Amino acid sequence: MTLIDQRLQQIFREAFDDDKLTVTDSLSPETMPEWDSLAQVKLIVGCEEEFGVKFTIEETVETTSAGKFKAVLALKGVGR
Amino acid sequence: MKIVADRIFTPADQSDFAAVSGDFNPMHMDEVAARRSLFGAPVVHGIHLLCWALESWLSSRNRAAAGLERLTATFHRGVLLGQTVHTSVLSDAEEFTLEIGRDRMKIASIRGKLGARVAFPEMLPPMERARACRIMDSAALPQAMGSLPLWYCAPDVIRLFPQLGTALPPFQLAAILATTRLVGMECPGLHSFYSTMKLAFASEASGSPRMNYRVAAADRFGGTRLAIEGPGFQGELGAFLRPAPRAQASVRELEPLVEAGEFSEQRPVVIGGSRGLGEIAAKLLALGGADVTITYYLGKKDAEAIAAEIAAAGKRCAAAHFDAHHPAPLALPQPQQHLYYFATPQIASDRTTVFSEERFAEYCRYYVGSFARTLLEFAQQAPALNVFYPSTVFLDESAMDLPEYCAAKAAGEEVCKRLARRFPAWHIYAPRLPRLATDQNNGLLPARMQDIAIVMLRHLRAMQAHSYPPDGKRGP
Repeated sequence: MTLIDQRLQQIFREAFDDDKLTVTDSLSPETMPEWDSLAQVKLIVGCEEEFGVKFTIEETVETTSAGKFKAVLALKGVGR
Repeated sequence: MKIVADRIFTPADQSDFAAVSGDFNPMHMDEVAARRSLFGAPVVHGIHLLCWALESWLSSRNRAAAGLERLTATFHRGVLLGQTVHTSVLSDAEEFTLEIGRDRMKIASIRGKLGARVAFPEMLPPMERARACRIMDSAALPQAMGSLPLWYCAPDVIRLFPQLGTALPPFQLAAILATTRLVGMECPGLHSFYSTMKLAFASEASGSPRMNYRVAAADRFGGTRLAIEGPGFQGELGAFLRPAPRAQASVRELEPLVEAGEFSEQRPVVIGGSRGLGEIAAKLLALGGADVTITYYLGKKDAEAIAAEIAAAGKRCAAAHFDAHHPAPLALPQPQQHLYYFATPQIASDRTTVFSEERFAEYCRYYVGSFARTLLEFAQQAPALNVFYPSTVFLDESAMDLPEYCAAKAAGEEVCKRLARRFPAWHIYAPRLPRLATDQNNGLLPARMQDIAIVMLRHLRAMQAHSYPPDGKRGP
């Protein structure tokens, strides 16, 4: 697991209040009933604060899996 | 994990808790106001859930508690009146963990540590009369700070929470109760909801019996962190400044869009015209010269305000009560040949199951059964009916979160087709509307949506083009 993955996992654990959550790319609202709009806001704010980036309106809606969060963060230069 | 209690909260429970906490926010107390909030109906106070969970846990233990050293809570989602929730004990020790759940969903997580009893020498004043909620916007929020008195009425608290009320020092419970008054009444106030609490209690308590607060951080989605402190406690609260109810465009703003007289042959009834799509449709039709009647079920004031606004612009609109589930004739001077059906329940997803039969049945009640009954009722007065039935583009997009909604709208479309075949003098127009800026789509996350007036006007015109005119002959 890369350092970015570890930081992202911590954001997910805090958003879902679950210290044991293991984040995989396929983690999504379909596989996780707790992933609602409030959780989505927590994930976005968590990423913005942790990585110093800002999501566009489209990105806030389109980041519907952990893998997509990683992809958006990569597009913003996180990890480069 | 051991379930120690379950409960269904009632409107009387809401009033009782508001009376001891001072949090009278309408999202908890007012069915009409709450329907325009994120939750769509009155929601149980998070701190009420917390106090009930602590009460249930203390009642289930053999050992007495004397006070708290720390307490944290995270509220993951709201609980509506009538929903069954349960309290589970995950750790039954001095350091405890509780969870509140509904079906298989986690509603709230509570962690804490019991401590020694701490005395606070000052007398805590009883609650004063409820004030109105403060309205705060995102610009004012980051600078907000202030102070609240710690109110406490021991008999009322002990009546609601006998174990908790005797186990905890009054100032600790008063501080816990004051947090919901702070969030719901003061900061962020009216348009808010409570999300997290972290409280630490000291071994001594002295000073003025007040809770001082300041906003420590506010993000662009309305997320707010409040730093709080008072005698023998300090901590941090998380809350959200939630979106205010959607205000639709005014008659004056819509006027340039509509051609004079383009709907003048209509005397339409707009079912569910007190807000949202129904409100916009009513305003556009009235601006086009229609003599409109809007109906409401709960939103009498909202409907009357819309009718008054339309009348003030020199157009015609009346408001009338109508229950689509038990349709009865409206006392109207002439039969109405145009019916616009916008009756709807709160549209929400149920993530606890792949497909909720209960939720599907509720949608079908509005979009299928009551729709058909309403048409049959109106058809008794006007055999040639022109009907507007709002369907949804989610049927094309297969909205992942809303399978029950999509299935009910699909059933509604099918009913439209069958009614049109069964009654050749009925013209039913059922466009699949996109997601539009109404209370139903007023979430925490910003979303780009098409202009509701432009979309609605396009469909009103399309329906008009194929309507039966008052002489009963088919239009173009």
